[in-house]
Amino acid sequence: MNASGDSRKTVARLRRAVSNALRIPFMRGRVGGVSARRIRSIEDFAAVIPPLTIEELRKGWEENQLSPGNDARRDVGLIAQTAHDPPVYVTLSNRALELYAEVLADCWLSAGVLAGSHVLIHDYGTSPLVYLASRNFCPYLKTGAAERVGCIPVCNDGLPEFTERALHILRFVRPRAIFLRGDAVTPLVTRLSETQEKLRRGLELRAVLVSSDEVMPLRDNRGHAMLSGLLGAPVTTLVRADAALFMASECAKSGRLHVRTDRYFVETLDPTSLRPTAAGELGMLAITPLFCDAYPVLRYVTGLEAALDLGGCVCGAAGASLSTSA
Amino acid sequence: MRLRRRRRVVVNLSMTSQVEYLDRIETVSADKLAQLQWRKLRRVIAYAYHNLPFYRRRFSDAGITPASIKSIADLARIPMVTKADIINETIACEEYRIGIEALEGRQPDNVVMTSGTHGFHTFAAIGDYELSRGAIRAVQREFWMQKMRPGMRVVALCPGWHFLSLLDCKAMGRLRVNCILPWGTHIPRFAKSFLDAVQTLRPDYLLTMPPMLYAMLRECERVQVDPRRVFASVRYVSTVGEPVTAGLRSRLREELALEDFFERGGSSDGLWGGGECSFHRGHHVFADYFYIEIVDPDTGRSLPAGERGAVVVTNLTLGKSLYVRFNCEDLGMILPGECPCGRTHPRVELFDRLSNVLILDGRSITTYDIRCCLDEIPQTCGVPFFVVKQSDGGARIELYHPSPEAPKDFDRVGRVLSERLGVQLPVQVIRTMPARWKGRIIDERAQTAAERYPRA
Ligand SMILES: [Zn+2]
Ligand SMILES: [Zn+2]
Repeated sequence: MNASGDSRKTVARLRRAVSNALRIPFMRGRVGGVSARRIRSIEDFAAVIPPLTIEELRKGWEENQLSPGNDARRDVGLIAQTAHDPPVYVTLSNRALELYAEVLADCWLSAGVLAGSHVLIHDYGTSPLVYLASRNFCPYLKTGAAERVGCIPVCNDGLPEFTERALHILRFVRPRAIFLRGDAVTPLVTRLSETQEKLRRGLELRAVLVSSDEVMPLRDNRGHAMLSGLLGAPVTTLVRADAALFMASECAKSGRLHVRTDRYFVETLDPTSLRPTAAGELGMLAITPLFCDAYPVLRYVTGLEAALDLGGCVCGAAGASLSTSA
Repeated sequence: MRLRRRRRVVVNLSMTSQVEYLDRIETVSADKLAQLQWRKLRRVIAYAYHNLPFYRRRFSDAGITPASIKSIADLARIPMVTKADIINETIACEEYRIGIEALEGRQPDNVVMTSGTHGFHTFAAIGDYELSRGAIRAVQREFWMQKMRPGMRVVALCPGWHFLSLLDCKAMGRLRVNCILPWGTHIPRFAKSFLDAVQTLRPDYLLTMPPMLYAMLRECERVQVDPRRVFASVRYVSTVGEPVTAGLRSRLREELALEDFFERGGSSDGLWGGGECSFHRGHHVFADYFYIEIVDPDTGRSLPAGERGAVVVTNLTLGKSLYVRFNCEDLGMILPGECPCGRTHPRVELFDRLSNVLILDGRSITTYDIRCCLDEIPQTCGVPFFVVKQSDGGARIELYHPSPEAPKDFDRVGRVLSERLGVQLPVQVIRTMPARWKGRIIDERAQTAAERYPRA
């Protein structure tokens, strides 16, 4: 099953992604002598391009087949490491950075972040949750999510040990929204439940967005419920697959993940055969980002299980949405 | 006062004694520099008095107005601001904005935090001006001085909570380097990620903190790879966060086969920074952005070059939280004489936090002094160490030595400490390193330092 939206546009975007990919020795090696013109339909894409696993990606980096160098990718200014062990890297051209940041801004907006407010971000500087948040957190980014939405970000490093500092920010900065690493939820719940109610009542939080990438448990329902109770604000999930520059946030009405089909081509694959699964059926989520001229990952198989729905969401949003197995 | 647009700076790549400068102002005569500083100081003082309630109150309490400050010497009449003042004001306002934000009524772009000495993180508001036309230029000069060049691959972290990191991030973009962000943060448990970034992406440059660099070397040791091979592509390393002595610098240069090893310094308290040039004679502090004084920590009296005291900073650009005569509570010294690089801007040597100065056998000693002693002995040069303040009031030195066989020459340490510093300190060998982000002093007497919030 795949999310194609308008299929003619999607095929054109996929063809561009393949054409970009063929400039990279690693991708050329994987697809043999196929040219991008060979992709005339979404089915062609799935037939010609083999799914890509994290192990293959890692090997590509180890063998120096993915590293930008003496090829056409001169405008790559940023290379970010992922949290995988061993890690892989993503390379971002200036254009891709802007489009990626726009996806994050969309997630902020759909979580209910308001212009003019302060937002607290508790994650590592390498996380796209941070480096896409402001033009001042990332070289080459012109407009981060904060500048797009009109917010003032304040960061806290991602360590769970820094929970005390997050409380300090809540008290003195009084952000209207919090973006948290998934593994920061439990320590924050513990500390919040020890603090005086007065501190929590003064917060007026509008949104709490908990982010997990594919190397972290997707969501901890109990933890989220407790956090929501303590902070008096809805807690939604932002799911990431950093190796494919993927982000999607949960719809408050349906609990499904809204996917931007103009930015990502998503499929669900059978875990053993890696063939596309039927509509609505659970499978491994595979992602092809469509905005990455310098880093054309095609059909990256994430560690996430999901079912895809093309029929629009109960909230009224058209397009694709995903329900995850958690 | 309006934030005037700065004149476009002509990039000067003249090769004066083979030193490349980014801006002409780096070598301007001391007189001209003093005139420029005085002009900027007057502007800042007037702005603080007329626009910032925190300073207006303090100036009035001291019975001064901008007109009372007629020369740089008069600056000493302005009361110093301490970290405690900022903390008290933050608590009193229950708000991070305390009336020092020189933003001309605009919203800040970002809010940053200090690393929380005294167990309390203070905040600063940073506006677009500072990051696009303010102190960012000082950091660009610093990187240029430390041989960072366009097209280089630089491994660096950009944690958004730290002011200097925002400047680094913007300056790297301006210098058009390829920036590599390793996963995690600057604490030793992420050394594996940093090492992978160096091994896999073969950068030219590494910007980090000393404890991370040492942790990377230990990781090489653990997985039994030759650090010279891992760091083969790396030409320069620049560290920030704790002083590196000359002995240690040579050792690291040798061990990693680097062209040069630089140090940077400064403080997220007071929003200032500086870096070493290739001659390694202290940190050049760009005098068109920061005015540095060294004062006697007890009397507040201004100290001349060559004497150690507390570092006091006045920011010379607006567009951020403004610090006027802010006592950073760091022990430092303005170095006398001229630097062979030809830059005329003052050089500051930083030793440690004032609160980390140890009074041992009646003498004031810093971990920097101890490091210098250790670096005199080849076997202990660069070896990680900690000073433990014991619960019985005494102190000891712990030297890290992971392998089980007895370390050679470690027994000489006590003798060198006694000869050079006049103190008797027991020395112990430890096999495991405490996981620390920064700092070399372990206080066994200390209570939990972190500020705790009132419990229900
Ligand atoms: Zn929806
Ligand atoms: Zn110099």
